[in-house]
Amino acid sequence: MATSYFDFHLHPIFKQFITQFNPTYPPTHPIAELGKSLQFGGPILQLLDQEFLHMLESQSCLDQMDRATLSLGVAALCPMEQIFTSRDGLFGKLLNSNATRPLSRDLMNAVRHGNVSYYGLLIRELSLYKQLRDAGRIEILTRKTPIDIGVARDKTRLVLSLEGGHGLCRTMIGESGQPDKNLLLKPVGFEDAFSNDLLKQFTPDPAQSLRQLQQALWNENMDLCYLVLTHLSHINEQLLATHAYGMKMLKNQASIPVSTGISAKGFDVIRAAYTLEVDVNGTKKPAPVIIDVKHLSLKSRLDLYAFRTGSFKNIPIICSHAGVTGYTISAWKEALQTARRVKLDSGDLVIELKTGRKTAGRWGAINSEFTYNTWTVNLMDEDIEAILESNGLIGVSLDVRILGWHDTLSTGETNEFMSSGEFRHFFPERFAQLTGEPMESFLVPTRQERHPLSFCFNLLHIISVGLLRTHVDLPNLWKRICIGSDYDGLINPLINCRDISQLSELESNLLRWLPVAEKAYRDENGGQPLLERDAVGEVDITNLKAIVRAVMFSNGQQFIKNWLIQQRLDDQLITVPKI
Amino acid sequence: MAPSAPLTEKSLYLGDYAYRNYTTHLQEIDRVRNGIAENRDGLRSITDITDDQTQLNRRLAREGMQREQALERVNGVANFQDIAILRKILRFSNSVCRLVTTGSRGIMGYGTGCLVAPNVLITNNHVLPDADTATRTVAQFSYELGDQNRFLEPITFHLRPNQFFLTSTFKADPNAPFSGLDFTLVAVEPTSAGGGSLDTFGFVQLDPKLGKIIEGEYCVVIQHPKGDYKKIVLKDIRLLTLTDNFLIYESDTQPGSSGSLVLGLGTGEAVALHHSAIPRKDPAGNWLRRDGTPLRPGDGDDMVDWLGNEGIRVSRIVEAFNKLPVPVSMQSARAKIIEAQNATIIIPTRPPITMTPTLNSPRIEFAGAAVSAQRELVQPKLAQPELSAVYHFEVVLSDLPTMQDDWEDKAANLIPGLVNDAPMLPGTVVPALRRMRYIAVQTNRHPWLVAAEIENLPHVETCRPDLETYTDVGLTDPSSESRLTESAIFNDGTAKPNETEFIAKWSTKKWVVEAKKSGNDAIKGRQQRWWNWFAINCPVGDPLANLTDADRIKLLTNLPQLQMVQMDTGYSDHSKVLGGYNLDRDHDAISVDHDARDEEARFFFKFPGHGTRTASLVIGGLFASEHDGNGGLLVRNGKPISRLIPYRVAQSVILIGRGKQVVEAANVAMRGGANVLYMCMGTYPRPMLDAIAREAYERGVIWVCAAGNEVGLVIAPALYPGIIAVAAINPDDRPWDKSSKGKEVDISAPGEDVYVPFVDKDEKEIMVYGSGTSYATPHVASAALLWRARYADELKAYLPWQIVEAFRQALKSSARPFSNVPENLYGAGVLDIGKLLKTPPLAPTSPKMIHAYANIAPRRPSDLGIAEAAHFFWNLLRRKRRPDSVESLVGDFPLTERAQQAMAAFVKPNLSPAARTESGMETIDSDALLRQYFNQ
Repeated sequence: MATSYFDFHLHPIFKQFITQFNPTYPPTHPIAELGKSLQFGGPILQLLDQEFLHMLESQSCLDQMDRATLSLGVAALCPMEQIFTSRDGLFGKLLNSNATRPLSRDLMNAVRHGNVSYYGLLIRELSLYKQLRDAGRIEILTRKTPIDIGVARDKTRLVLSLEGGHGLCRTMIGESGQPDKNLLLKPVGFEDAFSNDLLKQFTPDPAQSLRQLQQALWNENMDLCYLVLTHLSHINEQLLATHAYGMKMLKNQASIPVSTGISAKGFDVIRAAYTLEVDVNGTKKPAPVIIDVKHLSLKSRLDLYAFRTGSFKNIPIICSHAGVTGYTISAWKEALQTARRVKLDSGDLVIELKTGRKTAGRWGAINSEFTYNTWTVNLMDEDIEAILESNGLIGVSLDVRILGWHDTLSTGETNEFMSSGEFRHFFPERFAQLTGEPMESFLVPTRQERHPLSFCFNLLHIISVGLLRTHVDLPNLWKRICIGSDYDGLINPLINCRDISQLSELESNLLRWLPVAEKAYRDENGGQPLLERDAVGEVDITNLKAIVRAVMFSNGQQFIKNWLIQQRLDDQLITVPKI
Repeated sequence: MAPSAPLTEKSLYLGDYAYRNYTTHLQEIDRVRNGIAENRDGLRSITDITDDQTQLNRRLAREGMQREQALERVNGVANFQDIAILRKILRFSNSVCRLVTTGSRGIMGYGTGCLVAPNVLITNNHVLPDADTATRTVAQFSYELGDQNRFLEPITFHLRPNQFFLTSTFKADPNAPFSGLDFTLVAVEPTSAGGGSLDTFGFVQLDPKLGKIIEGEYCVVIQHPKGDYKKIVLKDIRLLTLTDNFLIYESDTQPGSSGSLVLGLGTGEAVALHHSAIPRKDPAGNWLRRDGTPLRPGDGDDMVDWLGNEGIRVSRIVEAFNKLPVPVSMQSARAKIIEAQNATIIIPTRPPITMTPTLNSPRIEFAGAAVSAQRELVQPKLAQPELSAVYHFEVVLSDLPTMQDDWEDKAANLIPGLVNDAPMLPGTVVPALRRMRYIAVQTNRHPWLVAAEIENLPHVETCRPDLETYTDVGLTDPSSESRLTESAIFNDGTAKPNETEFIAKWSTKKWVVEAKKSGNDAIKGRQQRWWNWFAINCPVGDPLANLTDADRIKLLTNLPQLQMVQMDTGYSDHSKVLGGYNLDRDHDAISVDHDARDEEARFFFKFPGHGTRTASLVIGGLFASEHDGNGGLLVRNGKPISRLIPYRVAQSVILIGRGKQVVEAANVAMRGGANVLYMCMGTYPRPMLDAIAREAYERGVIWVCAAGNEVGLVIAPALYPGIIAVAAINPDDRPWDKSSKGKEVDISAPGEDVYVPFVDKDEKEIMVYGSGTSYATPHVASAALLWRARYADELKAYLPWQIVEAFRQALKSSARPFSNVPENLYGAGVLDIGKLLKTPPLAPTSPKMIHAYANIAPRRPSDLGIAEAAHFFWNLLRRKRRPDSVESLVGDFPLTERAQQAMAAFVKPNLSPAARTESGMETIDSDALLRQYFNQ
């Protein structure tokens, strides 16, 4: 039997989905094609920066997942934000040109001109998952009819999640007052729970939208496991929370966070997610949704932790595709190097800041220093602590930019943006000292390299923080981590694992590099061993293999097992099993 | 050659100080010197000398063209300088004067000065260290040689430090902010002893923005070296480095000339105030002669081996000037100076005009540009601004997507001098507004002509320049002795208690009588100060007192989630409002920073501006004074239940500035999560204000605006359908006679003689009765926030615009109808807050729930000529007639032919030929023109 793998966050059909768009429902992508890999762009792109190429390659299509024997994963649905249809910057111009065929021009135009809602996009992609399931290509797990996922099957099992609360918005993209009724049913008379929900139950309230979505999913024998409140842009028409600045290539200023923390609507959505119930034959059944802290700004994350009081206190928090900063918040504040105000076209003032990177460890002859990415999209030690203490799970991203590896000869990719409100919150004195005319913003994309050691350093820091800041012991800490690749989410993947089919190579690399990284990490940061030792003080290879296997599969499998059988999120059914 | 001058104690101190700065930056200077040497050898371009890319980018941006072209231009300056720059420098040279200080023994010293505002000059502190020295000093203009080396006759003006005097000592004192900058600003008598006018010498604007010069570029110094005739140093001065406070530049010339302005040759802008030369020194610290030996006692300055010169950066001077405290009596002067720096362009003289303004105003005759006779309409004299400046324009693109895309790709080629092109409202939720752009163009042409050319492009539907405009607040009849109007208060800077006058006028009127009946012990003896609470049916001191416990809990639970933003002149620390602001989220759209403190309050600790007064009706608490009274509607028993977020959107109560600043402020507020906005001032209608009002509406933000004061017309933004427009009533329950009125008004609230905070002549905090729709507006805004909090749960099921409509409907249906007002021009009646809070929102599915813009055709933009004429008349009518009014300095332009033709259509037909002959001029019906432009 082939070795199984788990991925906490990937986008199996996203690239296929964006090749076709028309106003009819259900979408009519040929099922046989949906699992195949795609290459966007022609010869022109070959001349461009490598980073673009890797982002536009298929990384986690169903065929690649089969080859990887990825038997269990969480498919993230992420309706394309309007920011991707902006022609600002080279990346925007490419995405909106013929150079990136077969990316659908119709889709880009529909999003750009607001001819569809984000919710409309969401249900179209959901429909494709439904069609794949009904065609027997995949299995979709649901708490409605839990199955024993310990029993192997020959098809990929997927759990569904929603990346970006904008997916709950039912008004036309970019509009706040125009309900989306643009769903042309074909054949005439066709209906399913999703189309009915869109056409017959409009709501402007995102919390109610979430409730209705979960009910529709339930009616279609599907389920939503977790929700990422924000994604990469500020959504004017439905602001749930401040997002963390995440991608330099997006030149549109909507990529820059401007608000502060979680909004009132955002709290409504979280409350709804935690208390969600579905109607099953007239009976209310709990079907709560976990909140994923990925993409939330630092202040938003702290808002979430503070919100989790009372009965919400024991609800797990997760981060599905994380990197770490290596810092506590106070150490990160100490590491602030430069900050300046930047005025956006909207009139908003934001802060461009640069923080010194924390050294993870050193290895090699040249360019030997490994550091973490200190952008606040990554987890601080307090985040790691909150997630571990909540019985949550951290999926470590395979995006080298997130993992922190960078070309030390390059000065780029060091500055990030933060909203003025949040900067003022964390640096009140420094904020008061900011003077001078605000600069107009400009962003410079840079090239990065990649390396599995960076991945190891992220894993090790999570373990180290867990040992220092929580009561979880070392063996159990290694059970709170899994892979959250974010494949097909426009990432720049590890060189050793360009797509999901190469997960086995990543596993080999972990076995090879984890002991090296652990020594380097401890040489730099001190602390007790992060890997179990044998009788002679060497890294215990048997244990190493076990924890790597757990990271690659069984930790995620156990989390999903628990999720499938839980009744309420706060009933602590998600527990860490002993190996 | 001027004679050698002795080295004084001051010059020795300054030389040592400058030398320390020099050596601190020696490494940097050496790098630049090497770069300059390579530049001279043709091995390096000027723009490659600096290693500060930010500074370079700023410098290039000033060229107003694409980067490659800008680089070429900057690098070409050494050999090919545009003649326009020399004209600009020559014009600046007119403003440079010789300073002559006398004492009991005759002339005590010379210096150089330069006018930086119509009657204010700048020089060094070590030239004019104090007011006493200034009174003994005169400024001589035109002290220079004319053609054939003939002497021109200098024109001498006395200095007036009693009117304005501000200085930063030449010695830095760690305990004195902004000390060590060695500058003095002092007022100058406007008329010379011989009757000459200071106006004829213009003034140099100090641009605080960076990027006027980069390392390696040439400087120009216009000066009176050692009191000699005016000279200009044009060659061999290159900028060596910029430090935080200073510029260091080469010197092959004589030192001295303290107080000269240093200009950047590339931009013609003032970059520094020269203040000291830098001596070469030996390792022991001795100053060195040119022959390398130590300086000896008795040596003059011409013996010293000078390394270079040092000047104080203009940006630092401006910052210090803005932040240093000045006495109250000089604040008006400072305001003038600030506005002079911000004025877009200065045209000193204009032909006379006679016109007949209406709009409830007395006939006014202005000495401004406009139409005089039909003959001139045919052959207009259109003067071109001399300065190349950056102007902003609001542009509405064609609705054809192809043309929009083409604009996106080619705007820089379509519009010469295009500096910036950005969406007016990035991320707007209204699709129609996505084709609005906001562009910046560097040009030396008339902005309305540039607008016309842009509008002629097939890509463009309309284009309007975004020029500074006045608010509706502040028109004053100078003959009036009344101290009750907002504008009268403002112009004085202080106020005096006027309760006696109030009681004499209103004691028998309805709401004062009602208030007097009140048995509320907390306000006993001064109930009349709370009359407005009775008028809106609000329990005094606790607006929630009449709610049920459940409703009150619901309201107070939701209130912390809601935000209210005040768009006004900023906040102050007056005790009445202290503690009621949320200063973690304030914003200044004028200075573009996060401190919305009223500019006036920055200089004088508790100066309560317009923003303070309009805030007091929302968050006004208790302050221990016999003058205390009235209070904020978001205050319960003296404690705020919500904190107000102040945004500064107007430079003063009179000058609103550019429209984009209002747009940006509202946009920032909305993007930051504001639920209610209120604005107690306004201006004439413009597409961008229309757009932001629509944006707010579609985003579910209740935006409450004042209907306007004294102009009759309902102003923008109040006139737009998405806005809640508020008129004013008085203690007699009648409309305030100066309140704007019209079908656009939704509601009325107390506005005449409302009790608000101020200070008296002794700077003691007091409260007085003042008037304006400015005061009516906060009542309604507070009610809006309370209502939203009360019904927050129900409103979750509403589309954003439905929230605004539901509020409007609840507001109107709960209003107390007027009993004796025949016209339906003051809205549905008077705010009844008690009833409003018990009025649930209209169901979203109700047939009465109608989108405010549903049955309204899009506002068609007026012709450009009419728009220009409206802009002209609006500003003209708002201009203060007092000679010391600050807004008289705001720049304006001669009218274009198109505007004159538009005006000609509004020539009053009923003027008799005799009257025409008598006046010699035709008159324009500005009232008709403005009403047409306002569509009212």
